[in-house]
Amino acid sequence: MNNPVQTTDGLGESAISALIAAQQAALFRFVLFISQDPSLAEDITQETLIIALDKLHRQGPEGDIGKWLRGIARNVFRRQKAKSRLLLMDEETLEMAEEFYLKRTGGTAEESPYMTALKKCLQLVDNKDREMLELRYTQNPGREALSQTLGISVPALESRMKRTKNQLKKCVEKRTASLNHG
Amino acid sequence: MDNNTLIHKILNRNADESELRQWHELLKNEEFSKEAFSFMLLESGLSVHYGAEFKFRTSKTPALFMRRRFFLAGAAILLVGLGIVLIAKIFFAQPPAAINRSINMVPPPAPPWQLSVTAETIPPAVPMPFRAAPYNPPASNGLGKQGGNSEGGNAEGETKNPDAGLLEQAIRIFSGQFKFTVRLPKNLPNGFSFLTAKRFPPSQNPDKTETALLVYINGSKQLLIFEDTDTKKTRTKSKNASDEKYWHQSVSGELRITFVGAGFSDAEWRLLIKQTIF
Repeated sequence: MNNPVQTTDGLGESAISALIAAQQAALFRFVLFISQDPSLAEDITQETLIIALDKLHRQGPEGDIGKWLRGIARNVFRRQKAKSRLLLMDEETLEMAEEFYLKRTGGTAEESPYMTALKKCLQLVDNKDREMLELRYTQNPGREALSQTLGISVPALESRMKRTKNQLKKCVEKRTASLNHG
Repeated sequence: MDNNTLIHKILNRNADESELRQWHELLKNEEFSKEAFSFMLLESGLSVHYGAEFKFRTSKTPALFMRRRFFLAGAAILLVGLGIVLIAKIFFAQPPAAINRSINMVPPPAPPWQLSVTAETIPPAVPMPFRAAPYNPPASNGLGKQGGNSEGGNAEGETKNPDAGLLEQAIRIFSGQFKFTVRLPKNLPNGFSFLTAKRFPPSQNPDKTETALLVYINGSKQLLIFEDTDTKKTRTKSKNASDEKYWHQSVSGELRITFVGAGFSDAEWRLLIKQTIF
C-alpha cells in the first residue's frame, strides 16, 4: 500500500509530523528485519527519520513515501555496515531481502497478515515454549541466564528454541501461503 | 552443519567468523536466502509481537542527533585545546634568551644544572654599582697585618669589561685588612643571582682559592657558600649565619666581605667579584 506524497515543495511541521507518525512503525519493522537487532534498528530508524525530516523541510518526496524512507534507511544501514562486521546483509542481499519483506508483509504501517498469522500461531505453541519465547524477547537475558531460569541446560534451550521457531515458521507460512504465492 | 542450524546460530548471534562467511556465501543462493529471510522475518515479528517498537525521539533530543552534537562539541573543545597547547609549545620552545630579547620578560628560575649554559645567553646585566672602599696604605712595608680602617681598606682595582652580563672585577689586595663592599641592585631580577668572590694567593699557593658564592633565588633567598680548595670543604651558610671573618651580608643589599686574620694579611691577593644574573 503506497502513501503518495503529492507536493514537491517543503512540507510544514504538522504535515511532516503526520507523515513521520504514520510511517515510523513500518520503517522500524523493516529495519528490524534487515538488521536483526532491536537497538541497532532503533538507531537506524532514528537516523533515517532525521535525514527524512531535513529533506522534507526542503522538498517533499515524490512517489511512495515508504519506499523513499526505506531507501534512506538502506543507505544508513550500509553506513552502519561499515562499522559492524556482524551485520547480516551485504549490498546484494539487502535488495533481495527488501523484496522478500515487501512480498510477505506489504511493508505498510498497518498490521500485516504476517503478524496476524504469527499471533495466531503463537497461541498454538506449548505454554512452556511460549514462556521461553516471552522471556527471550521481552527481557533478552542471554542464553545462560535464560537456561537457568527455565531450569534446563544451554544446549537443551538452544534445541528447544530451534524446534519452536521451526514450528512457528511452518505455521505462519501455512497461514500466509496465499500471500506468499500471490 | 545443516542450513537450518546455521541460520539459527547466525540469528542467535552465536556464530563464529567462518560460519558468518558461510552465511554470506549461502545468501547468494535463492533457496537458502528465502529460508534465511523467513527466519529473519520470524525473528523481527517475534520482537515486534513482544514489544519492540520505535518511538521517535523528538527533534529536540534525538539520541543520534544529540550524540553527534556532543561528539562535535567534544571534538571542537579538543581541537581548541590542542591548538592552545601547540601555540604554547611553539612559543615556549624558544630558548630563554630569545624570549628575553623578544619580549623583555624576566626569565623563570633556571635549574642549577643549566647555569653554565644559560650564563652565555643571559641578557645584559644591570651594571652593578661596584665600589671598593678606599685603601689606607700600610704604614711601613705594606706587609703584615694592618690595623687599617676596616671601612677604608686598601684596594687597587683592575676592571675587566663586563661581558654579556658578566661583571668581573679583580682587585689586587696588597695586604692588610680589607673590606670590600658591593652594592647590589635593590630589585634583583627573579631567578638566580650569583655573586662570587674569589681570593687568589698568587705567590704562595697558586692553587689555593677560596670562593664565596652568594646565591640569590628569586631575589630573596640567599645562601653563602665557601669553598676552600685546600681542604676541599664546602661550607654553606644561610642568610643569617654569621662568619664575620669572611663576610657580612647586610639587610640593605650590601655584601661586605672582610678578610681579616693571620692568613690573609701578608700576601698579595686578588679578589674576583663576579656577578651572574640568570
